Amino acid sequence: MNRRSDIDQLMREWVDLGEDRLPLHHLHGALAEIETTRQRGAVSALLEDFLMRYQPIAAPLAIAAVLSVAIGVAAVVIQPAPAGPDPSPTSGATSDAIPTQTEAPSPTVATAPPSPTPAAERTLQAGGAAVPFSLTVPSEWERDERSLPTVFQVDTKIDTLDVFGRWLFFFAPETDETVEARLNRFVSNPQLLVTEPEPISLGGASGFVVDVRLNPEDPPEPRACSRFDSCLLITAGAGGWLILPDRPNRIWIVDVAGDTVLIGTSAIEGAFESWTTTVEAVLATIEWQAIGSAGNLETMTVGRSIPSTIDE
Amino acid sequence: MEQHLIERAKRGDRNAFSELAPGLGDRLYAVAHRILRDREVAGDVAQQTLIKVWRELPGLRSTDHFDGWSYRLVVNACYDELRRRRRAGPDLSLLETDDVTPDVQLTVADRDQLDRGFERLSPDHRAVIVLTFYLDYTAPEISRVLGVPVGTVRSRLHYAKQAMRAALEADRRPALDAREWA
Repeated sequence: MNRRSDIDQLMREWVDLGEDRLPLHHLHGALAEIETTRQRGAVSALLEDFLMRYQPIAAPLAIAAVLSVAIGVAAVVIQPAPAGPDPSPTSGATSDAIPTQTEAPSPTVATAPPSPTPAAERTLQAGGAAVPFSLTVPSEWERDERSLPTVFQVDTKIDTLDVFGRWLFFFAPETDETVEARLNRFVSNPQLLVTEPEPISLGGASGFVVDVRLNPEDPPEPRACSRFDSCLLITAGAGGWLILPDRPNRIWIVDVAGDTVLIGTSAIEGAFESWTTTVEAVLATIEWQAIGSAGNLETMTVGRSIPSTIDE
Repeated sequence: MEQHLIERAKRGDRNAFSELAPGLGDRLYAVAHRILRDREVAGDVAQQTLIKVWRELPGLRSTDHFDGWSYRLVVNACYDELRRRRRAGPDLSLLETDDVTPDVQLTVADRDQLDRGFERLSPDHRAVIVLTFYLDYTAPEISRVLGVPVGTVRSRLHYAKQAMRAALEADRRPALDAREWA
């Protein structure tokens, strides 16, 4: 091997030593932020691209455009006013009344209020879940049949269910911790503000529901998520459940035939109540395989699941 | 399949993007980790780049260029991070090592020397090394990713390899003046 190929080969082996998997808390952090991030308008992107590509002719074009507008305005201004009644003020009012919306509406608000009697239903099955279950959602919430329902089985402990573009986390920690013990871990954590636990039953599984926020008086130290002002609420595998300061979480902790299961969701402050009401309507339809009849799931399931795409 | 998801994400479909994100995040992280040599900072950079990819996607002219375009975003984010660090002074986390067992061809000593040599490289030279040896990109491909002429890519690669070779030979030439590599 000559000197040149020798260094090339060593360099290839050396760069191969790096890591290839984005830690899950970074992935979840990005997806949480994307949920509330608007895309840059296509028009402004294309205009910017045009200006970059045609910078040399952009200035003459801009001057020509300004001149054209000026000539047009001048032509209107110097035109003699027609005889007759005063022009109606409604034309100006009408144009003001038309909203000039250049970007898509904010995605931060829940897509729809819960419908008590949905016209059509769709059952999602988390087939690869640690604790299998099914959920029924109104079909009008489904924005794109090709991508929903999507179930990522992250590992044996977490399932992330993407329901209408938002996230529901299902945790079945591999510990013998009871519902009460898990709940107490949240309540006794000084870094968290936890509401009074409220007893609930989800699909026959009993437990509690609480809302959890970061405690601004007792910020987590050290920050579990590096520079971001956030805290890793639950660690599982290589990732976990991230709690951000402006995003309250609602957490349901239930006992499913002896397994303690955590279900969580979050939204930004302004959309939290609306979104959690939506989620509650969906969770009211949950059926746990360990509690319900297994045969029932088979007949109800019309969704598809995509297992094990990002297992660590 | 991925092209289809990119098209949909470009039109604002968050579900499509959330399907793209795990694989894309891994690719961005792999490049960032190799350039920055720091797990946590590389994770932050990949996370922010994922968000930027989502935000800027409507401006991408052709989905055929998605890979190169997303690598350009992550390389630029790495440049920013390295510049920020240099302004802030030396950072010991640069010396972080992985728990990976090196290939038999690459001795521990080689690896240590290469790590040190890489630390001394400028952001431009780091990027060329990673794009060349990790992604197996050609000089014209790197030229498109970095937005610099092909000749510049070749000269950067030449310099970077020379510096890395010098780092490897350093233990055999302990008296080598550090200015020679800087």
